[in-house]
Amino acid sequence: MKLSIGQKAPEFILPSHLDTDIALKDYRGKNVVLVFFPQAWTPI
Amino acid sequence: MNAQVLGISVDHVPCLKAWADSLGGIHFPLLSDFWPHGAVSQSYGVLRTEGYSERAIFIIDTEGSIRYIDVHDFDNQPSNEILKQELRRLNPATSATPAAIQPPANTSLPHGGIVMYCTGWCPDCRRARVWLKARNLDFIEVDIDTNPEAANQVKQWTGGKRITPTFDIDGKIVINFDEKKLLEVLQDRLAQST
Repeated sequence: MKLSIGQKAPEFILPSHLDTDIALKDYRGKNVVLVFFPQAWTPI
Repeated sequence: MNAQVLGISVDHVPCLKAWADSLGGIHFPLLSDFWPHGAVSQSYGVLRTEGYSERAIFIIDTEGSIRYIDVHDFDNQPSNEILKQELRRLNPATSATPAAIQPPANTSLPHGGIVMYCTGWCPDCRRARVWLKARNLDFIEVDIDTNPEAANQVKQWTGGKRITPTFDIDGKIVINFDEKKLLEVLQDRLAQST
């Protein structure tokens, strides 16, 4: 699936290193910078 | 800036925790796209066949729509400046205030407090060291001659030049040993330390 600008961002809920589950929709009203990185121990 | 940074990889949570600890803590959430493996990466179209994701950045606006997409070469790190510009564009009201977030491109570099990017030989760095010590200010030095990532970071801040010293003071960037600007940024700390 290829996303493009203007589309709705796919929703997700994922566990985080802060021990909380994070849902994208929790951040409505805020801009979100979503940074995918290949693996821990590499610079993001 | 009204923005939340979320990091995301296919690592499992304990691995992300250990990594964050090794970097002295990461203040934005690192999400684990471990199970079902890479499902979210896949839904964003950035899962590689090797099973981990590209380096990619999506900026999602307050309504949940995608406003910016950047998929990077594997070795190429995203530019903080570009991200800030994009965020300013989404958020013109806050454009006058300095960036409140430290963008995510460089979490393996120290951040928080006074970080001085310098070299072992530059005379201004020497003067800056003396200046900071004379004011009882603790700082961390990063040598850009030996740390290419740091050199790149400095170039991003300065528009391509290896200017030393360059300071990252809790996310505020001061380029060059600019005493006036340093005094301004360090006002609160100086008030505390005297």
